[in-house]
Amino acid sequence: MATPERPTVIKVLLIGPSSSGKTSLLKRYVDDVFEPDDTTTTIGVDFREKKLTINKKLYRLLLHDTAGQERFRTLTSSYYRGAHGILLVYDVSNRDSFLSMAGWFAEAERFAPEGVIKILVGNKTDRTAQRAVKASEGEELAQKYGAIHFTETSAKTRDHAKEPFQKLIEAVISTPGALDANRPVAGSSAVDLAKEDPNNAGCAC
Amino acid sequence: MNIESLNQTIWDAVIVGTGLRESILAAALTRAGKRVLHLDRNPYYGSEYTALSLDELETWARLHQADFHLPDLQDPPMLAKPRSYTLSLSPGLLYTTSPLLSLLVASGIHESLEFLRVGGWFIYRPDTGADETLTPVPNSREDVFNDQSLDPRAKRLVVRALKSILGLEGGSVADWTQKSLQEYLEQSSLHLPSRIISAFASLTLRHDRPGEIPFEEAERDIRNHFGSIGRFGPGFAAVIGRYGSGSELVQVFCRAAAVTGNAVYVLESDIMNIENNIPYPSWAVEKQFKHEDSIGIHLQLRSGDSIWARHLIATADNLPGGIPIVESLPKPLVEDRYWLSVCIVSNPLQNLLRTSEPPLAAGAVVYIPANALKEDSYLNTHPIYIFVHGSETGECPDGQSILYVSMKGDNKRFLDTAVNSLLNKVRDNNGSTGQILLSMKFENTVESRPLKEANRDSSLHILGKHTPLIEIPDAVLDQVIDIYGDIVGSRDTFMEKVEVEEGEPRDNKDTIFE
Ligand SMILES: Cc1cc2nc3c(=O)[nH]c(=O)nc-3n(C[C@H](O)[C@H](O)[C@H](O)COP(=O)(O)OP(=O)(O)OC[C@H]3O[C@@H](n4cnc5c(N)ncnc54)[C@H](O)[C@@H]3O)c2cc1C
Ligand SMILES: Nc1nc2c(ncn2[C@@H]2O[C@H](COP(=O)(O)OP(=O)(O)OP(=O)(O)O)[C@@H](O)[C@H]2O)c(=O)[nH]1
Ligand SMILES: [Mg+2]
Repeated sequence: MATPERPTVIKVLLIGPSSSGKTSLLKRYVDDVFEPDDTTTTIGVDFREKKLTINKKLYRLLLHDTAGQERFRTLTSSYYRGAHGILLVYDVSNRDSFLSMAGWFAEAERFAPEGVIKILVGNKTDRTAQRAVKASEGEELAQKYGAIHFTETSAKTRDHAKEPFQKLIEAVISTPGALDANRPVAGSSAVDLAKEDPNNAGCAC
Repeated sequence: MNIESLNQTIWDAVIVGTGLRESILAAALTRAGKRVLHLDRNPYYGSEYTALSLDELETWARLHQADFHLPDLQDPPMLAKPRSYTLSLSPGLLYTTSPLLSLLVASGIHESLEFLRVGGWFIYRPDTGADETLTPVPNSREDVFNDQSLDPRAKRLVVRALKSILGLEGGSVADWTQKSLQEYLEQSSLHLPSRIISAFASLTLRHDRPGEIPFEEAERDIRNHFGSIGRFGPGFAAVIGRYGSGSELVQVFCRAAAVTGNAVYVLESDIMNIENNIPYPSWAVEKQFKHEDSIGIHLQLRSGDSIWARHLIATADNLPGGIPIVESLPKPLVEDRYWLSVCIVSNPLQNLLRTSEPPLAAGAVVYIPANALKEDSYLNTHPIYIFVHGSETGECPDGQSILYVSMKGDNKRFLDTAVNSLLNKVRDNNGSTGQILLSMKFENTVESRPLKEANRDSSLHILGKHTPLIEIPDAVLDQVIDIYGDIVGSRDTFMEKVEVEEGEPRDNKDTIFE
C-alpha cells in the first residue's frame, strides 16, 4: 500500500565533459541498460526521475543529466539551485576529460548551494588498455575539491555503476541538514504564490 | 539526440534570444509538443534580461560601452568575491495581480522560483527645501490618517482624489481623457500639493513628469497598484524574484522548456542568413515530416549549421542586419532614451525595507521628483527612480544592497548623485552612510511602439524591442500568447501544467541501506 506521505525530493545533477558517460551511467542506474554504440550526445538537459523507498521512507530522486558539450550547455545558475548532490563524471580512458575536471568543480563551486554533496566518478574502467588516468589521481582530485567520495565505474559492465548514486543518496539522507539546507532559503520571507490571502480581495480603499 | 539532428529536423519554431518573452514562448510551445530550437548569441541566458556576477558585468560593460566604475576608495576592500553578486539587467517587479504570476502558478513553474516582497514606495526630495525630504507613499487608510504632514483638509482631499481615481466615487466624473495626471490632481476642487502629486506619480512607475503622464494611463496604473495590495498578504503590492528577478524567470522558463525534451538550447549561436518560403529539402519530405506545408524558413548559423524551421521568433536586433527580410521591418517611430545604473552600496538600507509587519521586505522603490535633486547647480529634469534590492534578494552579501537607478534625460551624473544623496539620508544602524562600491551606468532606448508588433506574417514573428525597467509589464505575456496562438492554433492550451506521473514507486528493490 502506498503511503499518503509526500516523497522527499532529492535533486541530483550529473556534470562533466562530453562523452564521459553521464547519460550512460544514468541509464544504467535508472533502467539498467547500456547502449554500446550510442553516439548520442545530450543536448540541453535531460531529466529522469526515480522513486526510492529507503527505511520505509519515500524519496523522489530527480536526476538532471546535463550536456557536457559546451555548445549544448543549458546549465545556468538557476539550474543548480536546490541541488542536493552533484556527480562529477570523467572518462578514465581520456586524459583530457580528467584534466577538465578542475573547471567542472569550479563551476559547481560557483553555482551550487553551499554544502552540496559532491562525488567524483571515473567512468569506463572496462577500457583497461586505454586507461589514461590512475585511480590514485582521481582519489587525489576528489580530496582536493572536497568531493566526499571517489569511485571508478563502468556503465558498460555495470562495475560499480550504481555506487556513486547510492553513496550520494546515502550521504544526502544521513548528513544532518543536507536535505533542507539547500532548499530555497529564507522560507519565511518568501511569498507563497499558491496561497492567496483569503482576507484580502485587493485594497479596501 | 544527435548533433546532426539540428540540421536533420524541421523545427516547429526557432527562437532567437533568451529574453523573457522568448523564454516563455519556448516553454509554452514545448509543452504543447512543438519542437523548438532556442538560440542565443551570448554565452549566457537572458539577453536583455540577464543577471551577471561582478566579473561578468565588467565584461558586459566593456562590450556595451557602459561606464563601469569602481571608486578608488576601498581600503580595506569592501566588495565581496565577484560571484557573491547577481547583478540584474532586469530587476523589475511584478504586481501581485500580474497575469504572469498567475501563469507561473497555473503551470507549476513557480515551484522553482522564490518571490519576495517589495515593501514601500518613497518620495525623496533632497533639494527642495522641504522639512521632511524622505516620505513614504501611503499604502492604506491608516497611512493617510497617520501622515503628520497632512492637515485634515488635505487628508480629505487626498482620499477624495484617490477614491475617484479608483472609481469608488459615485456619480459621473468630468472627462479627463485629454488631461495629464498633474492637471487632474491640480484641478481646483483638489488642488493637491506637489508632494502628493509625486506620490501618485510614483505609483505609475513612469519616468515622465506628472504633467506628461496621460491621466487615463495613470488611473490604470494607480488602480493596478492598489488592486494588488494584499493579494498574497498584507501591506505589499508587488514582488521581485530572488536572484535577479527577471533573469531568474528567464532561466526557469528555459529550463521548463528543456525538460520537456522538445527544446534544444544552443548558446553562443548566431544566425547569419534567413530565407523564407523555401521548399524543404528532399530528406525532409521523405523523412518523418508529414507537414501539410512544403515550404519553410531556411537559416544559416554562424557555426555552419543549416537549419529548417516552420516559424522564426526574434527581436529584430537578434537577427542579422543587411538581409532583406530584416531590413524591410518597420523602424520604430519614437525611441525614448533612458539612463540606467546598477550600484552596489555598502549600506543595507534597512530603513527603506521596513514594513508594517516583519520580516524586512526585499525591495523598495524611491522616487525623486523632477527638480528635486541638484547636481552641480542643475536640477534633474525628469523623475529618477531608485529601485532598492536588499541582500535578501541574494544579489549581494549582507550589509550591502543593490540599487537600480533609472531616468530619462541626458545628464547621467544624476545617477550617482541620487544614490549618494540617498545613502546620506538613509544611514545604517551605526549612523554610517555607506558608499558606492561599484556603479555601472548605461544608456538604453525604449521604443514607443507597443510590444505587440504589427508586422507578423504567418511564419516570421518579430518581437518589438523591449527594455526591462522597474516593472515587468503584463504586455510581455499578451504578445507571447498571440504568437503561441498563431503557431499552435489555439490559445487555450497555453502553458498547461505537465503532470509528473505519480504512483507506486517503480523501483522498490533498490535498497541502499542493507
Ligand atoms: C495613497 C493612498 C493610499 C490608500 N490606500 C488605501 C488602502 O490600501 N486601503 C484602504 O482601505 N484605503 C486606502 N486609502 C484610502 C483612504 O484611506 C480611504 O479611502 C478613506 O479613508 C475612506 O474613509 P472614509 O470613507 O471615512 O473617508 P471620507 O468620508 O472621505 O472622510 C472622512 C474624513 O474624516 C476624517 N477621519 C476619519 N477617520 C479619521 C481618523 N481615524 N483619523 C483622522 N481623520 C479621520 C478624515 O479627515 C477623513 O477625510 C488610501 C488613500 C491614499 C491617499
Ligand atoms: N567502454 C565504455 N563506454 C562507455 C561507458 N560509458 C559510456 N560509454 C560510451 O561513451 C559514449 C558517451 O557516453 P554518454 O553517456 O553519451 O556520455 P555523456 O557524458 O552523456 O556525454 P554528453 O551528453 O555529450 O555530455 C557512448 O558511446 C557510450 O556508449 C563505459 O563505462 N565503458
Ligand atoms: Mg549525455
